[in-house]
Amino acid sequence: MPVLAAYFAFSGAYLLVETGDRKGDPYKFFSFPYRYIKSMYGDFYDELRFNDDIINLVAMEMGKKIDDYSILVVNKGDTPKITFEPKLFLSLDRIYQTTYGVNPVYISNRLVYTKTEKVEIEFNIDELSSKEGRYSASSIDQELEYLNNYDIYPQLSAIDLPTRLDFDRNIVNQYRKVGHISELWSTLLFTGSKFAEKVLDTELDYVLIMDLISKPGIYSIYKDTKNAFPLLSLRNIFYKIKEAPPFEFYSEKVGTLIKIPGPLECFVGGEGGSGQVFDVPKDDLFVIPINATSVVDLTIKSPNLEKMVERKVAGGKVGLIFNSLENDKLISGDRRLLNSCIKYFNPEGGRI
Amino acid sequence: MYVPILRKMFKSENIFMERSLPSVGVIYTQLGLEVKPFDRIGDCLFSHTKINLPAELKPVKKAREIHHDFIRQGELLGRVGSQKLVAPFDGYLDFTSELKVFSEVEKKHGLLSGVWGKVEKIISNKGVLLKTNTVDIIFAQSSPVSISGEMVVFPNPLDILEEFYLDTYLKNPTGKIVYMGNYVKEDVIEKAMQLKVGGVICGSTTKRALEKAKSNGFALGIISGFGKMAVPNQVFDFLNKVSYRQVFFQGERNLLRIPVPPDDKAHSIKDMPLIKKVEAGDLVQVFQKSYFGKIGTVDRLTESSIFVKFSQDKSIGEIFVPNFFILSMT
Repeated sequence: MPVLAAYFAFSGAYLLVETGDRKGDPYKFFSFPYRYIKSMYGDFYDELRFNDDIINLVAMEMGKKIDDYSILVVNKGDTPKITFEPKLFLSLDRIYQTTYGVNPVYISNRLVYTKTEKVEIEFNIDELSSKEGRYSASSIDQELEYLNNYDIYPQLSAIDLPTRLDFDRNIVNQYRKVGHISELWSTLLFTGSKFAEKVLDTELDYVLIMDLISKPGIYSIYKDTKNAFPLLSLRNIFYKIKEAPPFEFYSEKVGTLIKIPGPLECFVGGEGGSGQVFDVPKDDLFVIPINATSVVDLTIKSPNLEKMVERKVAGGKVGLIFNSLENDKLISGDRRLLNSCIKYFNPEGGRI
Repeated sequence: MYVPILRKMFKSENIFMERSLPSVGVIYTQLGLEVKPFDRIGDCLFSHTKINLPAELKPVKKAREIHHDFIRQGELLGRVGSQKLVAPFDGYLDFTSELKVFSEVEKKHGLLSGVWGKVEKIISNKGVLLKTNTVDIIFAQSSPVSISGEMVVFPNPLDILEEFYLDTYLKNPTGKIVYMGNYVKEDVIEKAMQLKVGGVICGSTTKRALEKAKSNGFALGIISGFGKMAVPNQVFDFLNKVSYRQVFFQGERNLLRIPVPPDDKAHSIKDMPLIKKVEAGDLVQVFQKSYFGKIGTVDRLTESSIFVKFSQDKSIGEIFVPNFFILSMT
């Protein structure tokens, strides 16, 4: 019996279905970026029925019935949020604890969730709307009321650049107060509704990732746009597969981040001894576009490093990202850097 | 592309509604009897108005002696400093050293059934439990207050309601539940509270207005959300039809319950899936800036967005998932 795995996250539901297709893609992924809202449905339609309906619709979309699948469920909390007994239920905590080799970082507008931290993000409306000069006196109330609607409809997604930046800065500022992504986690997989939204300005996703990582280190970065990781992990556990799930096939390889504050002397060596030497000044950001299949030799020298770092690294959709900002400085807080990043990170080109 | 349906209106069948007297009285209906909204099912004697008087009031001499005195309208209640305080109506002055209360003389209070239904239980001298059918309007947000009252619907739902409308349209506001329109300003809600309106229903208002209503125990039901948001025409049309009917505001459950006759076929019951595949022609409410709060119809679809036609200004906008919901009233 094929597997249908459902992940009920903070801002939506994500599902994986085994297709049985041996030649093509063995999985089909579904995103449903809406969540159950008590105030919308009251007591006549509860969260469990809402989630049942999502699973039913996905089964129908595959031309089958719910009984044709082994249903697996992952969600926050200790019980599955559906009305029937799934073949396997695991809490998100359990999934995170059983993973190795990769470090998932779940991000939504309301939560940052890693293996070691769970940071609830408060929605400080006054702070979000108090950007001097951005709004006219007549439009500030309108802006405030727009933001207040996130209390009623929490899955809403701002598509305009200023509001998205406000939300992302709010996440970063609150997360950095209490948590930090460890420099020991060399492979980071950014997941959650923040990256599953199919909205404009995807380059802001990379800005958010860069701003969240405050500790110096060299990080290999992936972006899980389908929320595939918890689903693939759940499937592996169900089949008792010991290897890490093949997340790299179902997520976007962003590239390698070299985060070292202060001036950097860098050497990137390609095949046949060719290479490029360059300096990255203090408090700057520089990108070398190298694709995910290319592996290069990287050498870094910096007054802030005890010894020279030599490493083999791979590129990605963005490439090698050299970030020499001081740890407390944010890209989203510096207009010049932000503009450069938007150009660097724009997948449609426009790179310097 | 599947999207949740916002069903703002649906029918509830065979629900129980309690109708009770404000004080002990007489119930004169019978178990199993069929009732209609204007059937009188009981009555009691009840003082409708009570005024808490200032602590520094020095009551008239006679009242000071017996701590309880009948005072006619216009007669002296007492003095606060050099200022005379007269009785606004016939009533009784009761006081202790801390509390001075003037209560209107008790009058007969009739209890109407308010619904089409059947008497299921009688609570001796106090109230009845009726089995009935209602159409329920769901609020996006509401203050947690439960009241019932006569429904009043203001005529133009598109106008931004100004304070003076209240005086123009509402001659006797006490206890009424008033639907005011798509968008209601904060000061209008405040004025409604001052006028002792029973409750206000609107498409949208500010969050501050809701907070004020909550802190004052005032019934405020917001159908769509905060800011300037439209109410689906079908909801307005239905409310307009039930003007002057007894309605039940159940804020804790985010509901306005409107009793309907047993033969009402115009509304469907709630038991149906609330997630649907988006199709051209679907009615949607948009929560994306530039079009925020507007209602329109789906013109065409892409993989992760829809193009919506807004009839009001004939514009078309691209709206991304999850910034819209399907609206369905049937």
